[in-house]
Amino acid sequence: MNIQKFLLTRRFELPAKLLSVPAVSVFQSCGMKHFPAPPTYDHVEIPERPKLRFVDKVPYYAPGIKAPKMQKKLRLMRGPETVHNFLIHKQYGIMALGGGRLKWQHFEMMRLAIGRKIDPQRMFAVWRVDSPWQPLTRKGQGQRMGGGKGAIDHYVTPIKAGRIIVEVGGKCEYKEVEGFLRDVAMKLPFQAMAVSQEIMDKEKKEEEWREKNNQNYYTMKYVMQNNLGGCQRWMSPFDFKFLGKYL
Amino acid sequence: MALAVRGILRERFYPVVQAKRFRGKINIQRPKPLHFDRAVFTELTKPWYLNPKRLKTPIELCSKPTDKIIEDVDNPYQKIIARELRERFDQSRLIAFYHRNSMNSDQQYKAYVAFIKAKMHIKTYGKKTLEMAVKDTKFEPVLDFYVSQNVMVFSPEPDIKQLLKVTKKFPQMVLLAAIFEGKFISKDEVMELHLIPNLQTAQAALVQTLNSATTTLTQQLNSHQNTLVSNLQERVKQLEEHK
Repeated sequence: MNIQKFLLTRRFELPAKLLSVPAVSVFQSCGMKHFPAPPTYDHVEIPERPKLRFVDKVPYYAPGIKAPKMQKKLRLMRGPETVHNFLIHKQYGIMALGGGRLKWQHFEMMRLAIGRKIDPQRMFAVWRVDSPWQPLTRKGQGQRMGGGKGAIDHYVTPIKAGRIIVEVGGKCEYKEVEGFLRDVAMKLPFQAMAVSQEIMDKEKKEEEWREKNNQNYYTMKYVMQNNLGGCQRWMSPFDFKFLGKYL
Repeated sequence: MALAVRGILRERFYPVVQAKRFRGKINIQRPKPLHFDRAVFTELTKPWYLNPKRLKTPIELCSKPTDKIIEDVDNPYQKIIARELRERFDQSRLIAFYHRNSMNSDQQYKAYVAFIKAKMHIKTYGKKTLEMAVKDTKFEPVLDFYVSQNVMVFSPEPDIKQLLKVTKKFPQMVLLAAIFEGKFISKDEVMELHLIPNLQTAQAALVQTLNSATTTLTQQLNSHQNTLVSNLQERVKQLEEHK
C-alpha cells in the first residue's frame, strides 16, 4: 500500500503527554509566621438548659378527650418550607433537603446523639420542630378493607424541604460540630445536611448567580407559565404552585 | 315586564365547567419515575452557563493565577519587628548591607560572634518586613538591592575599620553597600573611608589643604633666607670642627 496515501488518509493523534513540556514553576516563598487571634464568641449566650429537651411520644390531650384521628395530609410534606428555613442563632444546624416525617424514635436518636457530643459548658442545642402531633393510623395485620379508619398507631411531625430541624450554637466553630451533625443528618428519614450560617449565605448567593446567569431562556418556570408545548395539560396543581422545582 | 325584558337583553356568562381529578397520593421519599413528556421538558429546561475561561487568552489560562496567592493582610508581629528595624535604622550610625553566599551554620555563628565582639549586630530580615519598615522613608533605596540572601549589620559607632576587619575573615559575606552617618555610600566609597585613619587626622589634613596656598607662598618668599640661614649654620659647624 502506498505509504503516502496511508499517512494522508489516517488521522494521527499523539497522546498529549508526548508533546507537552513539563511546565513546573515551583514558587517558594517564606513569610513571617502569623498566628491570628481565634474568633471570639462573646456575643453568644448559653441558655440554662444546653441540651435538647425530651419530646413526648404522644401529644398531651386534656383528660376525657379522645385522641382525634387525622387525615394523611401529604401536602404538609410537599413543597418548600417558607417559615422555619433560617437559623435563629445564626450558627449551625441541620437542614432538611427533602420532605418527610419525623417519628419519636428519630427525636430520641437526635437528642441522645447531640447530647452526648456537645460540651454543655460552652455549647447548646435547641429544637426547631414541634414534638410529634400528627396521628397516623394503622389497621391490624391481615385486616380486610372496610370496618372504618384504623386506630392511631403513632404520632409524627411532617417536615418540608428546607426546614431547620435542630440548631446547635455556643462558643464553638463549625468544624467542631460538623462531624456529629452530619452523622445525625444521615440517620434522618429524609435527605438532610449539616449547615452553618456561612454555608446558607453562600448557597443563597450561588442560587442568585445561577438564576441570573442561566443561558437557557426556557426555564421550567417560563415553560409552565406560558404553556409551551401544551404542558399545562399534564401539569398537576402542585406544578402550578411549585413550577417543577418540588415534587 | 320591563324588568324581564331588560334581564333577557342583559349580557349573560355561561361558564364551561370541566371536572379534572388528580391522584393526590405521592410518595415523597420514593418519587415516581417521570412520564416521558415531563422528562423531555425537564431535560430541555436544564440550565447551562457560559464557560468563564472562554474569553481568556492562553497566557492567562496557563500562567499561575496571582489572585490565588493569599497575602497576610495584617500581621501584628511583623509590624512590631518592622518598627524595631526602623528604630535600628535611625539609631545606628553605620549600617552595612551584605549578600550572604551559602555558609555553614558554624561559620554563620562564628560571624555572629565576631561581629558581637566588635560591638555590631548582624541581622537577617525578610523583604516584606523591610518594606514595612523603610517604605516612604529616606531608606527606601535599600529595597532595590534586597534581592537574594541579604544580611544587615548595625553598628552604633561608625567604625569602618573594624567592620572590614571582620568581613575579611568571612569571604561568603559580600559587602554591597553601607549607610554611614545617614548617607548611602557604595562599596568603593567604603574603601575610601577606610583609608582615612580617624577624624582628627582628617581634620588636620583638611586644615593643611586649606592652608596649603598660604604655606606655599610663605615658603617661596622665605626660600632664599632659609637657604642662606642653613648655609651659614653649616659653615659654623665646619669652623667648630676644625677648631
